[in-house]
Amino acid sequence: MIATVGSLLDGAHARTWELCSAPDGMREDRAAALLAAWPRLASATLRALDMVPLEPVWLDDTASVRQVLAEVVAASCWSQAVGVQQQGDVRAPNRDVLAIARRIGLIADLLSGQSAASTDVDRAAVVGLQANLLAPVHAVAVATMAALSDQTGLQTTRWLFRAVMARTERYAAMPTVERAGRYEDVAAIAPGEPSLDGAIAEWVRATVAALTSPHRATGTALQVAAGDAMILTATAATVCRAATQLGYVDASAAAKALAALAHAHRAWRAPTRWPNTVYLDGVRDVEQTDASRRVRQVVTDSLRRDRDWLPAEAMADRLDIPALVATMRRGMHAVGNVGLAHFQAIENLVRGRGQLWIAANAITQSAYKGVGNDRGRMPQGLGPDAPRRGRRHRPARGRARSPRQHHGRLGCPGRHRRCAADDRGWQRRCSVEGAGTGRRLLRGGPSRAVRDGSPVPVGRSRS
Amino acid sequence: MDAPGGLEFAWGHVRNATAAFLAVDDPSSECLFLAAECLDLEGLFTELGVAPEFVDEGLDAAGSLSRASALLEESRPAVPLAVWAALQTLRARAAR
Repeated sequence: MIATVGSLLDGAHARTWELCSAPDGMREDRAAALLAAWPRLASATLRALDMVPLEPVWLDDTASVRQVLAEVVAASCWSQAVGVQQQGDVRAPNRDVLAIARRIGLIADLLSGQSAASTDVDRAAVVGLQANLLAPVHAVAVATMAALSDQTGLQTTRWLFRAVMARTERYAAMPTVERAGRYEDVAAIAPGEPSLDGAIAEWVRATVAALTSPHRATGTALQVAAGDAMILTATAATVCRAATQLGYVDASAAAKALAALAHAHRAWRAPTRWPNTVYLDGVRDVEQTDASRRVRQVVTDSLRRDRDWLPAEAMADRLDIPALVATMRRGMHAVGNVGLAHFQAIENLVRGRGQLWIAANAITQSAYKGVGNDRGRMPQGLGPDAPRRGRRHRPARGRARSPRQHHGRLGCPGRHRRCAADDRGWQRRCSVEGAGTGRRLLRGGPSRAVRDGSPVPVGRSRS
Repeated sequence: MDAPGGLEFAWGHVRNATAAFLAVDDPSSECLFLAAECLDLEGLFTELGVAPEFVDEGLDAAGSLSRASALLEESRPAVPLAVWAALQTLRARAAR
């Protein structure tokens, strides 16, 4: 079973529950053992709280908690003040608290790669995570205070733990449902692990690497990423339906999830259909290809039969459905990350240094403000109305078109209605040719393109 | 005998097949898997130092793949086995 932040939190909470249920609540040696374990608990909690920063930072109201926990770490000399240790007996730290601290430390490790929470959803999830981390801290503080009782010489220590109790109380009182969030799905998955989780982890790593590379973000790479995202979205919907059918997921929650997944599935279809008339060349990323194949293979092996999805009962026979639902939740986070990389890659292509398109109103030549372009009805939503209209606009044979002329020949996605490449971007990346065939080449290589064995200066075309 | 531009046009047909598979909205998602395999095949084409030729869409996915296969057959000496094997596997899967 893969350890997740959620499962570690469950473990920490269960152990805290046991600690608080222990009958020897007020024994002196218990106080010493608890105090001895506090520095580790406090430092692990501080580390976990620091792993997912909130943005903007003033929204984070855990400053007072952090301050008091830092005090606890700094003042780790109290155990010496407890009576038992004054007699030279070195008290071992309480095992329950150490176990809780260990789990919280693992949670900090798992969260170490998370980016700052800057969206509303992530902020709410961080608040939930903070509550889940601080609830055991509050409970241990209560238990410690009870154990300290009225021992003499420990007034300062008691004041410190009273402060810990007071500042963590509201987190510990937060209803469980409000603490749930996406960070609970963060798991200890090693890329390449022979499981769907492992395959997805590797797929995210390889795909994001390919899409963020200036040379490997090819048209095919973008299509493959979008296609895989569609497959994973369909897989998640299938698993969600099966889990609902088998009673593992609440029907109303499943309905919301399925609606969102259907929307995402529809939305991914457009980027999978890279326009036939546009070719974005570059270096093929073999790692992305392998990772993509692996994801599809694992999905096929575990969830498909006879070219269709497994029925819910067959799925339940083969797999642990709650674990599979958790895997698909993580998978959807992974798809989200790939979606972001995909968006940034397209954004970079369109508006970055190698800008491919400019605003419609920047086109000045009326010859290129044809009805076809203005309607924005290009083949597959992008590219010129080739080849039919391409012929109409074709310049005389052998005559090079200026980049501005090329601009008029490139279409754009619907909301821009019509756009084209600017001169610099054009010269860097693009080669437009073959007006007769309606083909457009956008090449990501150096500042020239090669066709039919002979280099063609970019920004010029042959017809 | 090598057909001039055989690889390029074959790639164009594969692209059309990809688009055709992606256009299908089937609940089994089989067409998605087929489209993903088409993209894998396109990835292999990118290794060959050729660029896809624009081919008018007029065939369905299976027809496009058959046409690509015929074109590759004509350009046999220039076609790496990996491309041929992948295309034939894809055709077989699409025909099932």
